[in-house]
Amino acid sequence: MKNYDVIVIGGGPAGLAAAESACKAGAKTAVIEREARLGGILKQCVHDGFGLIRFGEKLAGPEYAERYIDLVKALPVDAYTLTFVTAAEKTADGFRITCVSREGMLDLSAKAVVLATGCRERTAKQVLIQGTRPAGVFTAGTAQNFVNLMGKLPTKKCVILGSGDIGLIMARRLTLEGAEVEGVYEVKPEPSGLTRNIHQCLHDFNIPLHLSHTVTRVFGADRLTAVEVAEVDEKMKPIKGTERRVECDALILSVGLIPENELAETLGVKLNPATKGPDCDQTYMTSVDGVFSAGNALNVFDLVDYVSECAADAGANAARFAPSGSSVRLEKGKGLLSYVPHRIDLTKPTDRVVFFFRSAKDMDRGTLRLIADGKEVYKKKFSFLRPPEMQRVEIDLSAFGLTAKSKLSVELEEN
Amino acid sequence: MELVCIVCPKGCHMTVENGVVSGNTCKKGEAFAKAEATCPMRTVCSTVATAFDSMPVLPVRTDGEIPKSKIGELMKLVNGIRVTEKLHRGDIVAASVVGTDVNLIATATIY
Repeated sequence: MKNYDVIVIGGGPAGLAAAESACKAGAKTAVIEREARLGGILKQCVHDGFGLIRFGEKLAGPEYAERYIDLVKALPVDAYTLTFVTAAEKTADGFRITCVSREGMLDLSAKAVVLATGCRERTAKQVLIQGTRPAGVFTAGTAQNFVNLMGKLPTKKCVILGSGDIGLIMARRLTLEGAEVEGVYEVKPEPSGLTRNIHQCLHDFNIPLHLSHTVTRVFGADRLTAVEVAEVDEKMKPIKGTERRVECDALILSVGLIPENELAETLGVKLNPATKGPDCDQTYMTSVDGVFSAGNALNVFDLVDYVSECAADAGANAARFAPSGSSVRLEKGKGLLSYVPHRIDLTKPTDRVVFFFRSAKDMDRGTLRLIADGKEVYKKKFSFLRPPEMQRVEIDLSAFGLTAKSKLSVELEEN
Repeated sequence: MELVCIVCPKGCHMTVENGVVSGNTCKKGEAFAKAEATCPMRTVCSTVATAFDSMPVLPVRTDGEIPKSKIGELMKLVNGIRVTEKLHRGDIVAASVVGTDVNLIATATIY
């Protein structure tokens, strides 16, 4: 058995940042990655826009990943690649992590664990489309892997369901590579991706965006030959008589991301219903002492720069981890879709709490408020709030006189 | 001409009339709107083929912006390239592309 202070599970942007900061904080650190190369999903995100906050430059995904890989490789961090974690168990003095690699079984132990397992894409099964099960129905991330890592074009003419950012990015990418994107269909009345991506990925290439539309059927035996699209009503139910058949050889899904927490759940980590990632305190420690969560496994971010920031904090905190002390829950008030952290541990620093949140709906102007025992203790005004665009704010909670008995809530009011 | 700014996530709705920009909330937005009305510019990211089985395609991007109207011409060039050297991130894959002083650079290291 090899012993570490901190084991980071996942070698994507979150895992790399967590490993870097854990090691710099003096912890004997390992990072475990199932793929052959570190970098995670950024390897296939060849588009630019990464790193504006972290590096002050607009980088492509692989560049951002390699910069972090270089930072980690310059440190005494053990990086296990082609290594898959099969079990994580709590022991008397920490955690036992069992892995398989090309060398066989690997037994590791750690005082603290950072789960940086990223997120998964929702699949066709989760959006209930009727019809046969032909080849040619895949997620935007799969299409991205085909094009950007394997150099294969998986479609000549496709329909994209969902206006998530990866779908929009892939609409542009496939068009550049010579495929025809017939249209992007979004069931909601507003797009779910960033405004800038609607413009630079769809409008630049004259790709139509059909809001309040969905795919209701797929056709084809071995390979997809067509899909049926229809307009939906305000309850998102297809409207009879609006169906239209579109000939295509692929249906690409960009219908949302879900934090990956299978391993977390085996450790008994409690999940938050709004973020679908672990419930955490301001140090990103989960409900299980010594288990930290970082990046998209915690909360699906829209900027990798924030993933790195959150994970660097989680890594440093894991390096000096102390069991949870008396805490106050941060209750969800009106106007908020999701946020982290969910509780404040009063035995840990509270003077610089990074609060990430999403508004529940579009608001031109909104005021974020913290209410402690019925009294407003903090407020800040925000402009241009949109659910797909996460906001970040640092709050000093040390002066609010919080005790374990305090009632603390957060709300967002439109004004 | 009406447009939405893509410089930052605010997404200001702007109007350009006879070279005068309105609706913007910052200088960058004004510059973007003016460029959009005259000669829209874009950074282009793509991949080029390689001779290496371990990495069949190498991600690339332009190291500056090129006119939007030249994206098609750039993609023709990109699709004709096959890299046979083990390039490093930042290395030039093609210099001065599509009649500009912008280079096509590798955004990853071939391993």
